[in-house]
Amino acid sequence: MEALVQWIFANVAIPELFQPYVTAAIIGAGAGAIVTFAAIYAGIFIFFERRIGARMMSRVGPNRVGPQGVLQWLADAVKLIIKEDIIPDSADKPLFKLAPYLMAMGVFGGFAVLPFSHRVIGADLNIGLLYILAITSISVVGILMSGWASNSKWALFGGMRSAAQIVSYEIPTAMSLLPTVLLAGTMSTQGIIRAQAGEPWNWYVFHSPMMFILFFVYFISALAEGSRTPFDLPEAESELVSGYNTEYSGFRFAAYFLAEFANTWIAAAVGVIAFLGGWQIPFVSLEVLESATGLQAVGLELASLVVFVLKTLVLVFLIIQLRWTLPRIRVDQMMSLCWKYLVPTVFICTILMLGWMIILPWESMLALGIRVLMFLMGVGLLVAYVVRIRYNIVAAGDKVYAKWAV
Amino acid sequence: MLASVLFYFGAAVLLVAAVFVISAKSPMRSAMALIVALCAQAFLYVLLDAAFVAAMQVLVYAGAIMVLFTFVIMLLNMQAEHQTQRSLLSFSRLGGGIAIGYFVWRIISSVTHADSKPVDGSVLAIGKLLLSDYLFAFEAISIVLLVAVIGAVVLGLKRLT
Repeated sequence: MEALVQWIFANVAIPELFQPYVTAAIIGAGAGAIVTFAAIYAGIFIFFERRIGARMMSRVGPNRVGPQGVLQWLADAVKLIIKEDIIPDSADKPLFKLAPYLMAMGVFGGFAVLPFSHRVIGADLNIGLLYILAITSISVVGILMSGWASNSKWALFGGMRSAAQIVSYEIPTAMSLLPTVLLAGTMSTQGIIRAQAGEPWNWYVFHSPMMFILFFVYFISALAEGSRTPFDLPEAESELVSGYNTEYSGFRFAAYFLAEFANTWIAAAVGVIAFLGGWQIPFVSLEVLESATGLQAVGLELASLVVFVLKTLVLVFLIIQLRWTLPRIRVDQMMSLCWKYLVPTVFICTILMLGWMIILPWESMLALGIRVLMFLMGVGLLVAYVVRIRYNIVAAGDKVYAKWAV
Repeated sequence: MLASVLFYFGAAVLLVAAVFVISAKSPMRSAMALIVALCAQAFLYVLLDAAFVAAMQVLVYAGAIMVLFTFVIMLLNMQAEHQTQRSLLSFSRLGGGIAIGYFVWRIISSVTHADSKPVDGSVLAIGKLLLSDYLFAFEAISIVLLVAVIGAVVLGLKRLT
């Protein structure tokens, strides 16, 4: 965004007097574009989640609105917007009205520092990762506020549970990103991606066994922070009606789900940035990417965009798949998983990583050999995963007719 | 120009929220106004190019400590207070007056003595400072935190006797 502003000022003659207004307008337009992307992503995500979930459960899923039901999410949104907005009589009205927007603000704010390709990014802050952690912690306040302001015991229980869960899982999330920051020497999202390379064995996830474990710790804690199954305790329908959003209806209710679904992109994108090499194109070095001009630059830019979005969508698919595969865990299991397993694992891995970084520098041949070995192990794991899924599909039998049946 | 507009906007939000913290009757609304005030303060830090301090302000104060505050308010089930305790009012006025006087004096003296110099607010600079000039304070704080954690564990242990 900053580079765009400078480029415009360098190429278009704008009087000194108007430059602040032009800057503000460009930043405003950029912010609008990012929020629009987040909202549309959340909508399309709902459609795909419902269709994929239906396939996994041998159902058809929504297929009536538009071809194959692709417009279902628009119909849902229209329905929610024209619904009556009910505010309970005994609710704390200003706080009740404010809470969903605080939650949405916390999530949409995180999109500002997420890159989409080599040059497309809202703002390349030098505290990128820390900013994401900080701004998403605001949504906890929104959840607590909605639970309290609803003045209903189910909403209050849901809000408290949710806040306890998110505050606890913030620790493994933040700590599992720390070794990445140590390796890259920067917290800027673009800087971390630049420090890696396009080839999979140069991704941080395959740097060492510890990083491989930390990737999974990050992924589990990100699931819990986003209240996704198996950690969707805040919305445990069988116990809490619907959790902190029980009393909400209409657009405010939609705002909660918009934020929650948009959060899946943040969780996946941060994983891609910190562990999976971001937008780096395999076998295209950073110098080529930086020095390309004209049509070649546009092509490489698009390629990096596709690489980043594809990687993110693979993780998003994994999040969807987990939701329709695993049962919800209990509250005490959720807490003991965080404090008894994830937090100690993260601490041990971080300390081991410090030693590893001193003994085996990034450039040494031995380190490269270990990275390649780790990569081969990762490929083996992926093959095992695919074989297992195929086995399950064959065993269950594919009972739903679809053109793209496996 | 833009920076000063943003500064006055942030400062206005901060002041209004801060006044609301002490004027609101319901403790929950006070807590929410305090969160707004802390976020506005973080915004002012960003304008001062201290992005790291701003992120820490939001993460630690607005995100973690205020969640603790709201938890305590919820657990104690505090309701809006309708009468003020008269006996404490004069003490509060005296203390508040002294505090305001002190801060006004500090602000005026810092503005008139223009010997302040710009500092580097980047993560790198803060990290270097913490591990060189302020190493003792840094380590001392970590020991204090360790003591607090051990104290919490001891208090939380179930007495078997």
